[in-house]
Amino acid sequence: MKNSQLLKGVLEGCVLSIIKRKEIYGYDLIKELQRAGLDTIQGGTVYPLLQKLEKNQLIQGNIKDSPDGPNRKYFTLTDQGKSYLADFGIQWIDLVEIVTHILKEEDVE
Amino acid sequence: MKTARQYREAMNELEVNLEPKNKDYFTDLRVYMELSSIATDERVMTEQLYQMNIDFLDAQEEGISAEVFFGNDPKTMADELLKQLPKMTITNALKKVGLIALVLWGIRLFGDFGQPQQIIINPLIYLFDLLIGFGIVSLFLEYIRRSVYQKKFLFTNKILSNTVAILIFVLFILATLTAEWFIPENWAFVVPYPLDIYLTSSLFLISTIVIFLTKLKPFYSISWALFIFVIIGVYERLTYVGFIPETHDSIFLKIAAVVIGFIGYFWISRKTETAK
Repeated sequence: MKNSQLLKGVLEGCVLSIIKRKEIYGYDLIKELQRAGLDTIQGGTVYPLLQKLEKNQLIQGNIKDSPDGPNRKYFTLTDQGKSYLADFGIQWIDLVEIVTHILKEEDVE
Repeated sequence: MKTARQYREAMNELEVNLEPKNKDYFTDLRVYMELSSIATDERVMTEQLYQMNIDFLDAQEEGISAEVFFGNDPKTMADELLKQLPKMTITNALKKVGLIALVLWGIRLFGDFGQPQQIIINPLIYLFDLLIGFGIVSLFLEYIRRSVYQKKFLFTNKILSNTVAILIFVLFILATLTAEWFIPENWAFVVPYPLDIYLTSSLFLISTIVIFLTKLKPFYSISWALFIFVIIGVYERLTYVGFIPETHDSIFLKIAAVVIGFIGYFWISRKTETAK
């Protein structure tokens, strides 16, 4: 199974988690994801996801003046986004526990 | 908050800094998205592209190509982005329709004014122009849109694709020229002299003022073309009513006016292009 298929289900949570830590713009987010180990992540995946999260009001984009370049759009987490991330965190822990248990049982067999 | 036009102009400036292969990638993406987002909020779409453009310039400085940064399937990325775009507001939709109507109706009105006869306005023909204009323009734009990422022969072969584009354009011209043959004239009315001169001259002045006040540079050359149409039309009217005697030289004067019109049109178009 490709890594990308597993990633599809959790990328939203990863992105929201990074945005929660700091206000961030598109390219910076891609670099953070790559630094965290998702080195195959590309703009083609991240930009549509950011747009979707903004449309669903989980994040908010604000254009900020830049002293040495064009103005950039920075993203922050909304209250709705924080709540969504908290739910994601709980569901993820539960899922990891269940899947680990199932895989362990398979090992035993 | 920047407008769609300001974002486009800003992107034109940024793209000068793109390396050739990256520029091709981004230009294709931009054309595809602009043609696919006719019914969406233009400002949001151009803002999205602009932010991606700025980010990519940073990546380019670090030696990353557009294909590596965005991926080798830009069409899928563009389609995903387009899915999320908000729809155009009714006000903006009406503005767009209104602008297209003005252009199409202006072409017919000024074209009729240039003929050696009275202007006859048939509202049904003007409605037909609008419908056929929308249909043909939509067909043409859809063809261009598909050709951006299409690998099929119909779109990649230059001769074939140019032929298709020309055929679509010819279809439009034929449809508008032959409209009078089959559209009923029940509601047609004549615009008599000198009302026709006042009407077209006023419309010309208003449109030129609007074009220059709003700095619509692509339309400067069209303003010049309209001016030539008005001059020819006024000459035709004044000759028709006997105010100016028709001479053997009249045809040469008209040809000269048309030639000056064309030369002026292309010269102004080039000037406004290089001024960008």
